[in-house]
Amino acid sequence: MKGIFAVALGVLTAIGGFLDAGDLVTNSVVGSRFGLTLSWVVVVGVIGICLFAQMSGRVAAVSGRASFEIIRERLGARMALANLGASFLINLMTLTAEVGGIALSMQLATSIEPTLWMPVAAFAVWLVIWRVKFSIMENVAGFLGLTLVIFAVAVFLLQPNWLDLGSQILQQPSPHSSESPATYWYFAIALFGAAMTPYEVFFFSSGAIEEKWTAKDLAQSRANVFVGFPLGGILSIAIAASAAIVLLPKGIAVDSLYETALPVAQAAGKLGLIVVILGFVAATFGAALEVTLSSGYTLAQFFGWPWGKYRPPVKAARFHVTMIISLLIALGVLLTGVDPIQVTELSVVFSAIALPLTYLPILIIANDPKYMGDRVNGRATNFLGLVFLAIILIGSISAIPLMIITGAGS
Amino acid sequence: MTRSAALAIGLRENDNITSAVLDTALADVAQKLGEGEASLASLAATGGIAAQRDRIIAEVRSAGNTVHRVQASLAAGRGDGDALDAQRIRLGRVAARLEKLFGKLEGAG
Repeated sequence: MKGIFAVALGVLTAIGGFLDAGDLVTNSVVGSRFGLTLSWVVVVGVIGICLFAQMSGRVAAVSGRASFEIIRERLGARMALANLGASFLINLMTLTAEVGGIALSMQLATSIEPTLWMPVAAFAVWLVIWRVKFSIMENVAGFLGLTLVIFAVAVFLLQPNWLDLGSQILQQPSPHSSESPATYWYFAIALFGAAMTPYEVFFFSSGAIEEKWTAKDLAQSRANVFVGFPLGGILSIAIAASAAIVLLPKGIAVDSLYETALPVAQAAGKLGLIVVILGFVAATFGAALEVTLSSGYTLAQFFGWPWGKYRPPVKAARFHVTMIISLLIALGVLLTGVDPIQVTELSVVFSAIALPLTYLPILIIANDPKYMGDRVNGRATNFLGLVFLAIILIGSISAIPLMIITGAGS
Repeated sequence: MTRSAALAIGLRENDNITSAVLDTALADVAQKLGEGEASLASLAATGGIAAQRDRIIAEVRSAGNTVHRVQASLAAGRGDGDALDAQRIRLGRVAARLEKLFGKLEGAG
């Protein structure tokens, strides 16, 4: 019974924790501009994140060490440094987007300027990381994030023409003449980057160590990934669908967070709106915690510093200082007046650019018997891993030219 | 963005939106219209294109004024009924005219 409860809890928090500011914004933008024509990207992205998250979770559970520690040992300092540089910079961009996302969500709840919420949000993230136990932190944020199920409820309440909505999935590349093919592919890469954000893998791997997983916990890890993430992916599609039903016909292209919530308001009124705002706060706050921790994890694991929330802060001082500095940088960037939504949109595209540096090392380690014993990847996993590396590489190479051609999708 | 404001005002008429979200929507639209107007005004243009640009600026200003009127009505507690509906319709019309003007400008460019 206890085991079933643990699996259910893990799956629920995986669903609730799947969405972050990047997913919320990108899916809504895409739904309002392209309908459901890009839903296939979410499906591909979810398969990819499932594949690599279970791989990195398995590496951590079997070897008892986090991915980044092994990457440096196995691939050498130079390769690890490239991985670290890319991941850390993307983490900083993602953290900026998430802290900005918390502030924008709080503005929706209070109508107080987001600039005033930004320092509060950054401080609250630090305080929770400093004081709250890892498992409580992860589970509470994940559970509250489940309120975003309201998007799926809203899709039903809006009573769309299901045939029309479903047929959008098959209309390729885009039925909307006002959007160019380059813009379509730019947003395809953005959606892919949003689904496969690097911090998720580092957090998943390091979280396995925090929670002292062993090979016995692999079944639970797989359930979290293979059930939780796809259900999270369905929520992503529901966000796009709600925008496709309400905003697309009115010619509203989303460029603010409140616009993401309007379809829910139309479908479920004030109560729905309150639930969705709670979901926004939980999703962005939970992701901010994960990204901040990931920043500390990657740097500490690369340099061999003591790390982890299971250690008292005094015994992992540099790990904690890294997280504080990361939060201060993110806050500093936001206080220059940049638009958090634009940062979010750029962060998912830059995530896509950096993906090969994140996922290739994990594939290599997961095939090394020195660390994995007889739990190395099977043939099917390796085949899929290579297919995804090819997709990731194509996306990574195409991202910057498409960004220039389309003016960052504008 | 004017269409977003029109949608938010429509939701307010049906009591489907909280005042904080409506405030946020109107403030966001007002700010973006202001930025858009300033950015358009700084564009150098001559002849027919300059005339098109000036018409767009006038429409953007009109949309901005409408949003400010809605904000003022709400602040004064007069956010119900026909007055708000009229502003919503006005914003919808401005949005349609702006789309047409931008289309023409793109064609001319």
